[in-house]
Amino acid sequence: MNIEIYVFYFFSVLLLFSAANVVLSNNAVKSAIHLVFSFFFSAVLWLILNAEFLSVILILVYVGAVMVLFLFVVMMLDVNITALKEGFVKYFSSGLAVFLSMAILLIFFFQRDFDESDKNILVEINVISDDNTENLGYVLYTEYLLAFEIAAVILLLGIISAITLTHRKSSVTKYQNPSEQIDVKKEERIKILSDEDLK
Amino acid sequence: MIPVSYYLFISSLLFSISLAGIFLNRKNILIMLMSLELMFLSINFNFIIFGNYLNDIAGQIFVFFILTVIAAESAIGLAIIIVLYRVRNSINVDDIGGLKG
Amino acid sequence: MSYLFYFLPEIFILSVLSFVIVLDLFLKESKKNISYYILQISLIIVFLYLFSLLFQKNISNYELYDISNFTNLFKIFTVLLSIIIFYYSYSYLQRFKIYKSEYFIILIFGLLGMMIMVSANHLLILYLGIELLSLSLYTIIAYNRTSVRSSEAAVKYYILGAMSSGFLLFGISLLYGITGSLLYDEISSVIESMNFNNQDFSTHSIGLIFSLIFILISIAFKFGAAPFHMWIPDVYEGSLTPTTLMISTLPKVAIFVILIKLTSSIFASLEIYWSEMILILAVISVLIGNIIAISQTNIKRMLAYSTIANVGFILLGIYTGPENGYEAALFYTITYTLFTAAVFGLISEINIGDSSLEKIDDLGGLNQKFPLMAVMILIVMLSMIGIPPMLGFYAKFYVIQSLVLSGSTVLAIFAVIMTVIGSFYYLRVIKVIYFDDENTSISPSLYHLISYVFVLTLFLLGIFPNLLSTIISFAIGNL
Repeated sequence: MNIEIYVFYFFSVLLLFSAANVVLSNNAVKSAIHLVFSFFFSAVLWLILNAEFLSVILILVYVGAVMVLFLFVVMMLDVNITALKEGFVKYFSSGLAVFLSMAILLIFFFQRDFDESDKNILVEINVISDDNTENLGYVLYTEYLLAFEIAAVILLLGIISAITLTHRKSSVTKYQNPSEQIDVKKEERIKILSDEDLK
Repeated sequence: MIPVSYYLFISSLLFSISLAGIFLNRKNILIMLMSLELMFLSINFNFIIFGNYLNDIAGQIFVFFILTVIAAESAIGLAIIIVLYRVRNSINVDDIGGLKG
Repeated sequence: MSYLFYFLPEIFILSVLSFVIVLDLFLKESKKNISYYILQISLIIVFLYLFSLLFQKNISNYELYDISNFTNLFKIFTVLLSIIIFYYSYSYLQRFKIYKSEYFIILIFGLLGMMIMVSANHLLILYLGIELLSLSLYTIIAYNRTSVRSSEAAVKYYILGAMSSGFLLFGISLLYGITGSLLYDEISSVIESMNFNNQDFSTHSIGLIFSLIFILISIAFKFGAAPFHMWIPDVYEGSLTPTTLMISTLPKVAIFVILIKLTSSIFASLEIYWSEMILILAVISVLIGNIIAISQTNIKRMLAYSTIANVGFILLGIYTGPENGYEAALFYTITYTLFTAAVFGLISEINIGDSSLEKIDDLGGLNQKFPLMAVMILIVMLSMIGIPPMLGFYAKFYVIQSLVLSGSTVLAIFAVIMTVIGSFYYLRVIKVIYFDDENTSISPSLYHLISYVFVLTLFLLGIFPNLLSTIISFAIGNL
């Protein structure tokens, strides 16, 4: 039981540290790497919170796909770092103010209301088995089937939108058309010119 | 056992950091997007904590869907940024969050 | 199996959509408009089907999704308006040779999102519906890829929109943590059972107020209410006119419906808190919208600020509470939406040289050249001011009446004064059209029979306002 506490403290400190680095760093690549770290550390914390499936998904999908997409874009756009630095100092005080006020408000509330573990609330226990993945899957395909379908529609929209926005028909690309190549006739390949043509 | 409120502190600190990040990096859209990712991470954290606290699977289901939607959303966001980069040759938008009369 | 019946309109639209997405790949460049016609016809079919549903008794026993007559009426309205929007967008895109079937495909996704979010009885479904709508909006705002302003507006809207979704989710997560449920009905009964009143800040009441604030901020963002309105002018100005037509109409109605659904179910017992927050939003919106609109020279930007002012009026209606305020607010929303659709439709039909209409002054002397078009714009503008025989008058009248009935006479006087100030910038458009020198490069597109029919219908609706108010009280009765 003790080890859980150490894991919690260790990884939450690391998580907050890398999250702060994401925000404070001026280099987009550095920020992205720190964001990857924060995803890793929170995945560990999610493991302690009995969300095994999601913590694996977070690493596989998030770090594996979304963050790679981010890094891809960061590398593709050759962003001028010095130009992006300006304004940072100007906004620092407002950023700090936002951070402090938000943090104090939320912590005050959570301290007050979730300190004592009184769950005066209706508690549904939707547990089918001990296996987190099995539980999730069971509920996902029964109770939340509608949501699942809508999520599929959203992903379809994501594909179409991203392609509509970024795809451009390149006019310089040269490509072969096999059917034309096969269908070509002898007469089209060579044209024998007579003397009159040359004149 | 770690009290629920400790976890909630972490998630609220994360939320505050991400919110501050959006305010701080007004000139840098990419870091702004990353702050948004951080914000959604903290929200996911909240759902998982509450789901664990209430012993209810619905919180984790919600996180599942948030992850799906945010993946699509960030794909579209990056596509928009690429479009902006193509027409302007920079992604240096002046004061995106600012009030412009 | 029987559950599928509830989603029939959505399933039908989605199937046609999937068919069109595949079909479009195989169409030749010159025949791409077939996909537009297919989508338009499918919308008409859905409209007829929804209309027939209205006369049946259908109570959903599927708790996540609600298909009451209220949401059904909303869907009928959105589909009908989408048909009109599709018509205008098609004619605009064809005229400027930027037609792509994807534009309509993405619009249909947005329509689907609105149908889902309005029918949702569960916060997860609500979130997914809102996201489906927002993602499609991000894309169509950035649709004009060659324009710098369009993509800047899209980036701005994207970041603010994603932030507002984050706020919505944070609010939802707090609600979930406090009440342990995501269903509207369950949450509202849990909150009711906590029965805390004004003075007593018992456990969890602060959390509930927090979540209320977060959710309201997010809704205000999407609605365009004042302190959170900064995306509206840029987006309206930056995107294509038919896109502006879409953004300024349908999502507003959808968000409005969400707002009254949430305030009448989940937050019903927190009325003392949300009514004050909504009042603040409303007053600031009416002020900022009306005052800044006066100094605008770009017609889309001017209409953007007038939108903010109108949103303020709608919120004033909601502020007065469920008894008489919701009906007035819904009446106002429908009127506003119809007339905004008409005005943007008319704007999109007018060419200035080779580009679309941007500056108000470019309308100069429209009356000499195209008197019929000028009359149409005159009717729409007069209605937006609120001149008596028009529908706009009744809309403003009902809101002000509900303010007086709920005892806030000061606010009613404020609303009247703001209406007078607001009339200034609408009158300026009329003045430019009728009294300014003729702008020679102005040239409306060839035929706009649909515009004439549309504006004439709106005019007739103004003469018989009881028709609309009967439908609206029927809708609110079925909420």
